[in-house]
Amino acid sequence: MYRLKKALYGLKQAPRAWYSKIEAYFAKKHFDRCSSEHTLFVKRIHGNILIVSLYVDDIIFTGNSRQMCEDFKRSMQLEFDITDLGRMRYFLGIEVIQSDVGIFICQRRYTREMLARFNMTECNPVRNPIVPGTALSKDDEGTSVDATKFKQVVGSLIYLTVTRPDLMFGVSLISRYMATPKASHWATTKRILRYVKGTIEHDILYQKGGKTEITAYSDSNYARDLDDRRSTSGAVFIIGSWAISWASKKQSVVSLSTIEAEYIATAACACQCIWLYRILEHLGIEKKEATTILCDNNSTIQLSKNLVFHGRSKHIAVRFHFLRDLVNDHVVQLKYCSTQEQVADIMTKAVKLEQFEKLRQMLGVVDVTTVS
Amino acid sequence: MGYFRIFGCIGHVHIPDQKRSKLDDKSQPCILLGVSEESKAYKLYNPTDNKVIISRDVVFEEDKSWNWHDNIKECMDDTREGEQECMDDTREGEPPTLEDTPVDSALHEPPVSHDTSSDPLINPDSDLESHHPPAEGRATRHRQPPAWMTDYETNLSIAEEEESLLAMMMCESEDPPSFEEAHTNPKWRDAMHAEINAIERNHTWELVDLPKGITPIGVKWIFKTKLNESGQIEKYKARLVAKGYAQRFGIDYTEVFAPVARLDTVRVLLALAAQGTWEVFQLDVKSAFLHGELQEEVFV
Repeated sequence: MYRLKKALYGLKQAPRAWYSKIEAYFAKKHFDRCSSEHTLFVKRIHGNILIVSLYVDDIIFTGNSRQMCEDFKRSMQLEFDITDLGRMRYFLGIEVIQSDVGIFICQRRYTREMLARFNMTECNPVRNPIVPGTALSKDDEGTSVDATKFKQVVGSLIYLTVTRPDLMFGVSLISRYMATPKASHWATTKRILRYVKGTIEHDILYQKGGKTEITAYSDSNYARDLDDRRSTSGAVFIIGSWAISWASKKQSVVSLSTIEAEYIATAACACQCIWLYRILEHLGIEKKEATTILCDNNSTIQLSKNLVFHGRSKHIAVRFHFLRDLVNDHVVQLKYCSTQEQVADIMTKAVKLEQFEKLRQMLGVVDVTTVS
Repeated sequence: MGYFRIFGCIGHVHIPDQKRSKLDDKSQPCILLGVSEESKAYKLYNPTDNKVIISRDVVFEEDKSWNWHDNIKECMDDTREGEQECMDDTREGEPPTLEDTPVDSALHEPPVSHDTSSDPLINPDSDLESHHPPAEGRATRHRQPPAWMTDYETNLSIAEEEESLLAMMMCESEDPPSFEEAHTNPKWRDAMHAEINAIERNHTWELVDLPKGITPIGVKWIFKTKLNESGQIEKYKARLVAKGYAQRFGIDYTEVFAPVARLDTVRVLLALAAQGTWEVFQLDVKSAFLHGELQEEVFV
């Protein structure tokens, strides 16, 4: 009989044991762990910085000093048995291309495999994922389709949204009908796959320069869901001119007015802003002023500053106070932007093709072949 | 001793509610074979559909035995009489069961007029019922080979055997599912040696006597052929894994949560690296989980 001193694969506590081990190692080497993201470690020596991010046994690291990167690699080699993969190229199915123009992240191989898996390799590409005006309901007429396959497609598409913010709304829309998918839901899903097929080469490109400030866009779509009349919130977070985080979510409560829907969306957006800023602060980016949240609803902005519109807002309780506090404490500031410039629009509704392509570019999604 | 019954006697096995509808028979007559080796139940044989049944819910008629003679008679186109006897045997006064009327014999049966004339005792109602038994589509439906198959000499069991052989040939290049199948193959033996060496080098375990009252966790081998980017075989990998499903909370493990990086963070990192034109590197820890130190006492 053997008594285990260290973990074996398959043990329930093995991942935790490994995390404790590597965390202890980072602590020993005087790394600073981020309190809002426990897998992010930072080390600073004389103005030089080394940033390490951990995904179970995959480690990515970067920094402004080549020397520190080399030192880190060498000390890891002494402590553990490692494979040096050199420059980051392939991480969790995401291809990373580091070139002179900047850093591309894309999932081209994953996309091709996914299309082959669902027999969509030969489909005709289209230019937008959702036809404007598409209205889906749980009780749509039409024949039922295979729910298992539908779920598989939705799951695969969700992972694709890691590098494709332009798909986010469509995927979040179809994922609401996974329980009893009908022919109309399947047709919508197939259109997304056809759009994916046409835009395999479209990916986010992070470029040099630009501001290191976060700009957040928040938008909502009032009572869009036909079944329970809940609204959709959308948010996009941009550093420089490239999206780093995005969300599209059906709100968990029914709102009575567009102001309330917008308010709920903005409050959720502010929460994410705070979290992102804590990470940026940890990475050494000082916050000079309140984070700007751009919003295309003037009433919401007014409401966050003053107690106006009593008739429509008297019942908004928790979110109301939360967002007001953040605005009063200068953590965030709400600013107006026109609907044309509202990037988060792409997260809440099926926009017209022209506008869709414009917003997509504002997200930082570009055609790789045209750049490099 | 009280459970002993006479070998070969008739037992009426209860059919559970889920397997029958309101008007179906509540039991089926079978022949007692003995007691089951696995469970606390009787083992019985149902000659009509050639099945062995394990059941606890049996009512025995120890003074009766299966009337083989009648069953044979049934097949010899003398159904009416055979059925009559069967009824006597098993269920007095109940309509004849489907099991007692194999479809075969029903198909070979002479016209109705002949039947009724040969046996005037049967009333016309039950006669009608027994002539259309498959219409109800019950579980005992007899599978008839297609008509064109009668022209050929077929042997289904051989065909099945060939099929499984073929399947084995196709699977040859795939990964073996168990140690027994892998340990004869040198490439997997090497892989297993490498894994054992890694475990020993890590001082993962020590040989001890098992303390009393502790259940060890089992281990098994997982074999995987690793392919490289172009789909070529890169290496054969064997991994010794513990059967984590046997672990119990509070005894073998307590906390299991481990954080992983959020993809938002990874993108922030990449955006910053791009802005500062920093290079991003990646490395991978081999057999990472073998490094983790256990707080709990676990035996394998």
